[in-house]
Amino acid sequence: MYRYIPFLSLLFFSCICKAQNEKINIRTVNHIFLTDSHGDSIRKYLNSTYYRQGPKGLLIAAYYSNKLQVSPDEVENQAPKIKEYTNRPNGTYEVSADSYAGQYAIPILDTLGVIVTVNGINPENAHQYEFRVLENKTEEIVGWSTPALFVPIYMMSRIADPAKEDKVSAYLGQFKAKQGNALTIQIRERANPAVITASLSAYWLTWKPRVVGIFTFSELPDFLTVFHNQWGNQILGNSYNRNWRAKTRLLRIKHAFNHDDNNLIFYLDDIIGSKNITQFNLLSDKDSTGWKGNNFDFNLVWLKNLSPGNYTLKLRYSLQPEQITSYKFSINAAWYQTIWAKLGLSVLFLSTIGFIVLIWQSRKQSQRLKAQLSSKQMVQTELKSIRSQFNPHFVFNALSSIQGLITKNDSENASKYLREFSTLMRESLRASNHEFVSILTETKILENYLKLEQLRFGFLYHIAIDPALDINAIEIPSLFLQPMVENAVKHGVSTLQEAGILHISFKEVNNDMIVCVKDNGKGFISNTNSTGFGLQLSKERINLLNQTLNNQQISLSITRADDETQVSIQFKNWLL
Amino acid sequence: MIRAVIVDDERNNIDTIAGMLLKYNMPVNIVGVATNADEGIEQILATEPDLLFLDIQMPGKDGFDLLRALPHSQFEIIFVTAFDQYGISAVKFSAIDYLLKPLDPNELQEAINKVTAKVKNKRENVQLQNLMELIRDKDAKKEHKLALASTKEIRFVPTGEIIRCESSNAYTEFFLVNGESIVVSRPIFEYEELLIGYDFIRCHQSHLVNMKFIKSLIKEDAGYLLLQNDTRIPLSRSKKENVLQALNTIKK
Repeated sequence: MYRYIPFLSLLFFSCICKAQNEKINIRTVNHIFLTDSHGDSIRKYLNSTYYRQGPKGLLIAAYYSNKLQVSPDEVENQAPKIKEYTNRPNGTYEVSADSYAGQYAIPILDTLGVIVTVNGINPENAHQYEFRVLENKTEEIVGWSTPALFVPIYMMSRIADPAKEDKVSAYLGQFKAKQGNALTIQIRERANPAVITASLSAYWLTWKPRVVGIFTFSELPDFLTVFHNQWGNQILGNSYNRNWRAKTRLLRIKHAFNHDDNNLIFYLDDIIGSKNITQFNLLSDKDSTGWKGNNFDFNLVWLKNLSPGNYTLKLRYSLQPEQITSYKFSINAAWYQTIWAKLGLSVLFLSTIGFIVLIWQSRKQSQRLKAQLSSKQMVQTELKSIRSQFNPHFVFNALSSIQGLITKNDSENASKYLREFSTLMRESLRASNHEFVSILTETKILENYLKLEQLRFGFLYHIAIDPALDINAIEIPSLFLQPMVENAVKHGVSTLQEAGILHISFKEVNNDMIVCVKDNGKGFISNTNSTGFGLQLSKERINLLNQTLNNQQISLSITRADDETQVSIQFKNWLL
Repeated sequence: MIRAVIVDDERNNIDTIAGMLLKYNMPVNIVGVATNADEGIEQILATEPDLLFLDIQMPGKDGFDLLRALPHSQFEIIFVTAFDQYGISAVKFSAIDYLLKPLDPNELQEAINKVTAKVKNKRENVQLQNLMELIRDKDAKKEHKLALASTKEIRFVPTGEIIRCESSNAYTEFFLVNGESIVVSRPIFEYEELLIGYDFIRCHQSHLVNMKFIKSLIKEDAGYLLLQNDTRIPLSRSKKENVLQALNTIKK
């Protein structure tokens, strides 16, 4: 411990005293006393306690650091040895504000030690007095000496000669001792060496902070009551209430707190003169804040917003950093702060988000479906309008052909073609109500149509269907081939009369179906004007159909080779 | 000779039928004609014919009203209609013959031949009875019986007992709840038209399925329907969307 003293004094009090290696300095005056004119520096840094035996006795004063004061009762409990040194056996004593009010040795906590002055001894009468310093009552570390140093008198004046006021007091020296030891400064008159005229003792104490009560945020009113109890009287200029602890039962020590009691005020029992004095280090399960200065001048440490967990609050005074108090406490987790609750809540949170996203997506999906559906409906309406367009030229030409038969009196054939015509009309009307019809139905209609056209132009036609195709089951867009066959008749075989050959074929190629309409006419590619309408409609219909088909596509190509025109329609993936 | 009554609101049409029967020497003797339903009923009750040529669509009471008013069904019937939409599905449901105007002599001949065969071994006209049942509770959309005509017999199967139909060219095979299967020589698309109103769905070019027997739609590959008897019915791409839509509406 001893080896720390120089370091500590350098650290904390280099401003008020030069580093002093000696335990005892009776040769020079501490510069606080030297430079102080009105006692301001003394009051700033030091507390003082005075003792005087009898109204005319010498007034012996002790000055010591005001950074930290301890309760006399507590000191007596903690260091009973102090009771061996009585500082006021009888007679009067005076106590300055904020000074130590105990009746035993003055507890000294820091390296400044104690400075002793005596009022009533001045340079004129100093030769009548001598003083000595005893360590632990027995060892004389300063033998009987005549006071040699004088300083301007501070506050209290002792009139040596009742006729005049003293301007100076004797400065006996600055004394230090190891912790656990006591120094006693005694004064006697040379004329009467058997009697100690004045004396005081100081005891070097080891000291650490003690938590005397804890207040949660909800107990703030209790805290204020206690605080007022302790410090309220100070407003009147008095010292703090010495018995503040005895008067209250509000001080409670607790070690476990609820999750919402996460603002804690730790109440200490010493009187702290500066916020740098108290230092704390809060250790949680894994972490620690490191030593920090307190945020308050007062004897309390306020920890805010603590999360649930187990803590150790370590407290120390900067004056004696090796003296550490540990206070263990815990803040219980609320149900929602436990790992499981957190997990559960985050799962809940995530699933809520997921749910919302899902709802959002499904709503979007349904909107998209709706949009698709409506566009599909639009496409279908358009398709329907295309389907229902049966070339009126054909209708009336067919009727005209039948009329020709009637005028030729060929009633048998007239009746036959009339039936063909009515069947064609019926079937095509029916087919126009369906998006798709079986190959059988479609080819029936084509055949009806071709028979009627045959009546007019006399060409040959042939419909060949791959036997692998189930014509009853496989469907194609209704009346799909009619415009192409009509083109082949109109621009192909019609002019050739009996020499005209029209060939329609349905073939299966892998999963595709290929339908070809071939004629040996002069071709209609060059003759763009008149081909336009029927094929244009077909192409439009293919476009629309392809929009509604999934993975199935229809494509149309027209080629001319070997004096033949071939329209070929590929139904891709049609047989899947 | 088959004794026949012709009911048609147009006199010309009656003459066409009568003329054609005469021209092609068909063994039919016309015992009565009528141009409206009420007259027709009178004629039928008065003459008790073997055969009735009946126009379906007539102003006022139609052909079905006429049938409803009759006390019995002990005669053969051939419907004659101009356009095969009005009420024709009921007729098809019972697999009763019908002719379209203008008449085809060959078709007429064929129909008369069938009637001749039936008239010989005279019995109750079950097809007509089925039709009567059908048109009686047409709105109460319940388990109507579908006539499945094979070469040997006509079977009447409640639609709810048909699990599915499968096409094989001009034939359609019906798979019934009792495990039986019946092959009918009519293309599948004709049955699609008839059964679509009874919650059947065409899920594939070759397949027509009663939706109430669908267990689930499996989306593997192109997808297929798993039926309650664990049969797998393929889904064709072009039908998939319709099937999904239909199954969704059923669930709601």
